Amino acid sequence: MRRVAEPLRIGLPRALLYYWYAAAWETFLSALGVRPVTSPPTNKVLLNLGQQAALDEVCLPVKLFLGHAVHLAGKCDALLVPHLISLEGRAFTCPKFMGLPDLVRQALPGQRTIAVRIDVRAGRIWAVAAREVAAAVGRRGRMVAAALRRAAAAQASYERALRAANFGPADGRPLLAVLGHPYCLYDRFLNMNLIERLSAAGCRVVTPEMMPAAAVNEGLAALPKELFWTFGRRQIGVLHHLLAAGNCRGVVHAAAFACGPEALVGEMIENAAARHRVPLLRLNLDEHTGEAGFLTRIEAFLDMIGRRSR
Amino acid sequence: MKVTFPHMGTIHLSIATLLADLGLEPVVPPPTSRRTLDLGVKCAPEFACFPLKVNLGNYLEAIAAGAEAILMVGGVGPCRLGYYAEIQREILERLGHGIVMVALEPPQHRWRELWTAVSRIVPRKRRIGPALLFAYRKIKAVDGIERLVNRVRAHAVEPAAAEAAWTACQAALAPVMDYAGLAAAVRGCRERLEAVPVEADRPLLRVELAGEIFMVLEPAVNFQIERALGERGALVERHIYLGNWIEDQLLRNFVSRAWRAPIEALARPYLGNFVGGHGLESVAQAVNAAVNRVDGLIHLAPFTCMPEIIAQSVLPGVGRGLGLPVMSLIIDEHSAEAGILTRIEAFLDLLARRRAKGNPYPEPGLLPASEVSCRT
Repeated sequence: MRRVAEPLRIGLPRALLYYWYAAAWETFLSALGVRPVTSPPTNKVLLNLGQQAALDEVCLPVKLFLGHAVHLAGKCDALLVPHLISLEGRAFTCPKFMGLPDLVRQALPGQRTIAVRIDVRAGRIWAVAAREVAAAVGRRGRMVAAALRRAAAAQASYERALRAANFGPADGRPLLAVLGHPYCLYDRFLNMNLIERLSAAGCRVVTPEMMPAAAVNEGLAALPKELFWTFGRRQIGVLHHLLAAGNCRGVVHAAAFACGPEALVGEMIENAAARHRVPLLRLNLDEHTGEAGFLTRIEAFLDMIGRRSR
Repeated sequence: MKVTFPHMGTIHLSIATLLADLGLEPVVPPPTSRRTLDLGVKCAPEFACFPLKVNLGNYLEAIAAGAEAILMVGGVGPCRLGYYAEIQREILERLGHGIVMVALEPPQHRWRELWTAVSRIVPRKRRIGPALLFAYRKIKAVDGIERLVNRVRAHAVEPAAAEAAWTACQAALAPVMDYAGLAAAVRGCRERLEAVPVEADRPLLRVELAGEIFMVLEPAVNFQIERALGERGALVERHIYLGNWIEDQLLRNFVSRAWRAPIEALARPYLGNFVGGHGLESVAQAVNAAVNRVDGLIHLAPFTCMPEIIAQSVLPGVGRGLGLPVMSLIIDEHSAEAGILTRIEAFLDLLARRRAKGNPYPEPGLLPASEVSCRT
């Protein structure tokens, strides 16, 4: 066990599934008595760091993660690298997530990393990985169990708050299904403040995180073949549920340029929207996107929705 | 019923036999061409992987020739191949082709549905076992001939003679439907290939070819890279063969996972786990090539292929650490032959110069940047 005068600093990149699990990780680490050091919200500097650290071919969200990781490299004693292989029984996240620790090690040789390996398919659930993280920072026993409970409670509370964002008053605002991977929807630099803009324009935004699991499963039931990507399942489930409910006035699909699963899931979203005759806006998020073009397309889409309702 | 399937290298030689054996009418798509690519690219999602688009092109050409059903593989991810059949079916439906898509899913999944799908269209159900076994044996026989072809290509005095012999071999193997015929055809192919005049002690560069399976096996999309390398004095070696792939799929499903241990051990210093598709295999093959003092590795992948992007990201580490020059070629419908050939020639020049200097092992911390990564 390490005797430290001040707490161990654990770097937490504000990227990828930070947007889902920040509450859990920050609470867990703090409860263990170590200090989580989170990177700032994504900005141009972090993007540049990421572009230098990664191959051109790597998708933008992973490049951003590497940028955040490089930024944290000198500022922490160890870098927490999520190794999220599968988060549910019969689905994966994505190959990039599965290779993430090795990408980080290539980019930052010599940086101490702590990989949090979750593979629900293989039985490696959160509790197992969390205990390994705790052991890596020198904590064992009852303290760890207590920290786990607090982290779980914080996470549950966060997820409840996300879902509650959906259940606003039914006030006649047009309902838009805004679909995408969590880091594409909630990283404001990456999506140029998409959700704020849609809300400010008077729309009621529903994202996959705002719907309960039951709605997702109901929407997935009709698929001829089970979809094996977690983020894709959420989007398709929520979309089908909202389309079946009949009150969805438009769909916005925000996907990173050259994202593998989204190329196929996007096709499925397009087909579903077409079958239900609901307008669809597909936004391609990449490092070269200019704001003006982006805004023009969103405005045109909102105009179209406004016209259709009259 | 008229059944078609996608092209991938020499698979058509054995699948056509399999379908005929089962009482179906095989519709072999026309050989993959520029027209095939154009057809597929037009109706596929832009960032779908290249093989999906090529498959679609094959299907459309086969449908024009009367195909009523498609035989395809399924999968459980995370590589997109597992969802190809489903997406392709939706696209064909949208285009107005009411085709039956039979996707062969991995056995641990939905046995009953697979059997229902298969028995719906197969007249000779009793032949299924023996027919599958013969098709597998034929695939292995063709693999063996392909290995010989690469050796002959590298040593041939006249490259055109080697290609002509290979074309004749394929024509001889295509109609074979029984074991006696297969043995005779294989003998004939070996004789044909061994009759090609060769320069037995020509100094050759050894080049390992690795990467995503479709890009490695299908000459129509990799600009006939094996032929190009052979003509330029390189002996092409690879560990990706159709027969091996089928064995992998079966072993993975029925026997224990322990057979993967050597692959995982080879790749572990650079990539610690399965990432879908052939990503881990590509890294393992690179390490294996380096350890066996192969002169260089060419890594093939379609644009946006996720597992191969992971492999491509860690291959420079393999190259630097083990002294193996690595070139990654990312290919899609926009790639041009001239660009690919230029890079291959430059790469072979690099290898020849290193060979002349005795293929030095890297000095720790002081290494030539021996990796060229590009998408043409």
